[in-house]
Amino acid sequence: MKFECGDLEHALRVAELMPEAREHLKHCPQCRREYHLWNEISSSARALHEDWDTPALWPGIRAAIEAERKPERPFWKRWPVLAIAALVVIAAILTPLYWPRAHTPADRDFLTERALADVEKSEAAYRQSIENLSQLADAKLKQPASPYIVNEREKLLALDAAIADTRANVRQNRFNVHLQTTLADLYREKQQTLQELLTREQKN
Amino acid sequence: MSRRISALFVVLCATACAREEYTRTFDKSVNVQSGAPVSIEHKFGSITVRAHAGSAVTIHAEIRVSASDAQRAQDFANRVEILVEPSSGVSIRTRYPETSSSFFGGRNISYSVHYEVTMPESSPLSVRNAFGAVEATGLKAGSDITNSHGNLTFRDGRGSSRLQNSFARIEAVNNQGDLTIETNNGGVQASDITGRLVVRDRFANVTVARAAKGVSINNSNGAVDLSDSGGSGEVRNSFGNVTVRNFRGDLIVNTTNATVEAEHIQGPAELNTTFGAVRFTDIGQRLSIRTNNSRVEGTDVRGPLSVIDSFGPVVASGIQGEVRVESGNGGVTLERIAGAASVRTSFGTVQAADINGALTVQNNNGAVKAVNVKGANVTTSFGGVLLDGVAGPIQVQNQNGAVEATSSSHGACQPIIIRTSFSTVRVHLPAEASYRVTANTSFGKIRTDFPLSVSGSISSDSLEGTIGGGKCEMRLTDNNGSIEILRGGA
Repeated sequence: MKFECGDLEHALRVAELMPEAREHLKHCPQCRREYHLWNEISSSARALHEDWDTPALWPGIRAAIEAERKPERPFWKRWPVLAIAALVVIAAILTPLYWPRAHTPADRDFLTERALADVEKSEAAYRQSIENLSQLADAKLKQPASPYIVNEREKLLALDAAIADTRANVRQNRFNVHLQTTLADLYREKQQTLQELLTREQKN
Repeated sequence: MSRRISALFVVLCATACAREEYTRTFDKSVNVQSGAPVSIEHKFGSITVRAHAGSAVTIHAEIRVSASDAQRAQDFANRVEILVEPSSGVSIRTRYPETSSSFFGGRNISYSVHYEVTMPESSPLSVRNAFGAVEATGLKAGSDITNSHGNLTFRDGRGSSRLQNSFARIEAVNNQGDLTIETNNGGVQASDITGRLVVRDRFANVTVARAAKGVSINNSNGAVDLSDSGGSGEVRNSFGNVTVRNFRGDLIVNTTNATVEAEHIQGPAELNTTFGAVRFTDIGQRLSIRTNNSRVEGTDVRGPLSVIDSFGPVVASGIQGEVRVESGNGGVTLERIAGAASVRTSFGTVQAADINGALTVQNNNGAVKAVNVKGANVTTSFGGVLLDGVAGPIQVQNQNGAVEATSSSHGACQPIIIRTSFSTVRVHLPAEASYRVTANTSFGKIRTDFPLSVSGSISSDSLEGTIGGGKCEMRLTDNNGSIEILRGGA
């Protein structure tokens, strides 16, 4: 079989094909760049990778990264996509770290001390990653108002108000599972809203 | 450095900071007069309300507290007050102790209270809650429930009720009476509502089934699904698809940037959208559609159809009334129309088949093809016109496009007036055709299969005469194109 550029993505998933891929990379600068990029993303993502209760999520993130990669575009045009993808990856990684742990069995009203420490630590990181997404989206939201942008802006305002209200309540009742779950749900919805906004704008 | 201290603290806390939980219950029962209202004001916990035929209001509350030690938990739990006060009926309120914000004080205590209340079914209920689910069942005197950040479930109610929520779901099942649902960022599911249903929502999906006496849904950024309902239906939405199935009444849908689907609507329907397709099937009376940048497609309307569209194709069939289509930059296809059809478009092909009335087409830069129509009046440019099986008058005004028309007059008088330029005019007539013919062209020839009695001057590019008895008028005018009058019609 003659190894071609189109086979690279497949080879990255199938270890047996990597020797052929490496041979090909020696002679193909374009694929070498692709491979280098893949390695960069993989290694930074791996550093953030932890085991959690949703085994299907990591392949999903990898698929999302793959979907974002457009080989025909030069690297210097791709960096905004990669920046968004990286933030999405970080947010997606932090989501299960933060979110499922806030979900304890329904008959439990309160977090344990350890669970709360985890949740608060993850929440801070999660909030920061959403803040980064917000900054990326900010320029889009300041664009001349299309009905879609107006809607998204209103939704984000409503979410921010709800997050502020819920956080104020959480400060008084930190171990309350329902409150922590509500806060996590609100963050998750804000993250999804920002991602949709950025993805949609990127497509446009 | 501070990170290290934090990490150390987390580790120490994880191992050393044990938590203790304490639960105490509260029970009380009071009798109320028939119809006296019951109100509940609460936060941080669920409320479950069930109705019964008696006169007692019974309150069971479970007060749960988590603290760093058992004594603190118990002390706090004992200071949580459940206030049951007589008002015009009964008022139930939760009062939590003030908590200090220091870490070793209030910040380390958490709490929740869960209510189970039974009350007379004849009493109206008012609930204000936050951060907990609310469930109410069997209330017969109307309810006003406002919640936030907790699901709201309302079952087997009677009377006029109002449900409000935000950032959580509302589910209403089996209400005998009018119902108003208002929510933000929370889905709505309502079914088996015998009265009028009003839903206002944003940023979430709305699903309504079996609402009998009219439905009004105002939503945005979420899909709307309305089925098996009746009365007067009105749906307003944006950025969310609207689907309506099996509706026994008149229907108005206004949405933007989304698809509209309407199926089995008994009454008249009005479907409006932008940037999304409109699909319809089986509409019982007249149908009116107004769209922008949308595809319009559907079949079976037992009344007239009106479509105003731009930048999208229109495809309709099985219309048992007149059809009027105004489109810009979109093709139009009509089939099996019981009445007259009128089409105005540009930059799109118009196709019509089996039109049991006159066809009027005003097109620009588009071809026109019609088969089996009762008369055709066509104006277009830069496109061919093909008319086959026309039973009534034929009138065509074209520019830079060929015209071919086949008569299907079956002996009746069928006036034919055709004008074009830079292309051919070809007319097919039955053997018994009877016309007074005037044909003129320039830079083209005139040819006819029929014996012609010339009544005026004759040349290769101009003639006047009669075919058969000369019963009807035929005027054919061309510039830079030939004219042919051929046998072949019916």
